[in-house]
Amino acid sequence: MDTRVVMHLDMNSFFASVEQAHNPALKGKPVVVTGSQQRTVILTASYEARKYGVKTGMMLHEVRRLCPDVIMVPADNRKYTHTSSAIMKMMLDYTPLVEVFSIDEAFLDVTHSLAIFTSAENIAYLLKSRIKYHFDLTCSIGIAPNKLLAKLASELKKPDGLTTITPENVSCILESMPIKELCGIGRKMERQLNLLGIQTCGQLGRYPVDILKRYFNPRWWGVGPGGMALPARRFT
Amino acid sequence: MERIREQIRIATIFTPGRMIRPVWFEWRHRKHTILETTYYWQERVGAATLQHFAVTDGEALYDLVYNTLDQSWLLNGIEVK
Repeated sequence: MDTRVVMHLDMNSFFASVEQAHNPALKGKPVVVTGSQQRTVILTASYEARKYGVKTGMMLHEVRRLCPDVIMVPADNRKYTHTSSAIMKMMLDYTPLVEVFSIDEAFLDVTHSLAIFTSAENIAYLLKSRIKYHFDLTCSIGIAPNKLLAKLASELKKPDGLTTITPENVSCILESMPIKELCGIGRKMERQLNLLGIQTCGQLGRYPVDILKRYFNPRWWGVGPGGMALPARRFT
Repeated sequence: MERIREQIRIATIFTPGRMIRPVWFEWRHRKHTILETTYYWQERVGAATLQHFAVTDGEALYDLVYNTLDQSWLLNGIEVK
């Protein structure tokens, strides 16, 4: 098992949370962010709206049917970009190895920062409290020996979660987890793996690699899904 | 948010090393005392940096914009609760 310590930080319903922080009248209410006032698809929904079954990518009429009291806010990309870059810069206070994955997600390789900050959990708490204080936003953080597992860990508890996957508990967490939960395994690859009788990550781990190599792109084995096996790239 | 885009008379506190703090502004012959700055962000338009301050006077939410190039203040928009 890898000895690196990687964190994945995922902002919780980022666009909707920024709008709620910006306008206190929206706090605690079901909010969806739309592409623009003319668009019919939503970009993201607040956790209050998600309770009604509202999901990203839904049509506005579907959203209104599920949640008649929903508040629709047009997207303000400059506001989100500014907030995102300020958060990414904040991460550089803890390690130079910050890889921006998307506007609301990043990987941090904190292996060599532990001597200063004691533990990865400590760094996670510091980041979470600073983000909450400065932007009134919450995030979920996953800590693991590589990017794939760190991303998986951050998905396990939302919103405002902190999950650690260690070499000791990794097999216990992965054993019964459906393969589609792994970053990089889409519907098509899930179907192909299902045809080989692989339903869970535990089954995938036990499957002979030689047979898998015959069915799947070798590139996938070299770098892992989405470059997940590679170290976090430096933020520039 | 209703777009206004009008220049305003405003009182602000500039403290070295800290964020600008708008205190009150006048709009349409009425003085609004700022109770809270709820959010801050900035954008670049050409050579200018526009600093946005979302502020509230307890009645509505205002988007005030400071243009660092010509040092002007604008009431960009208003959202009535």
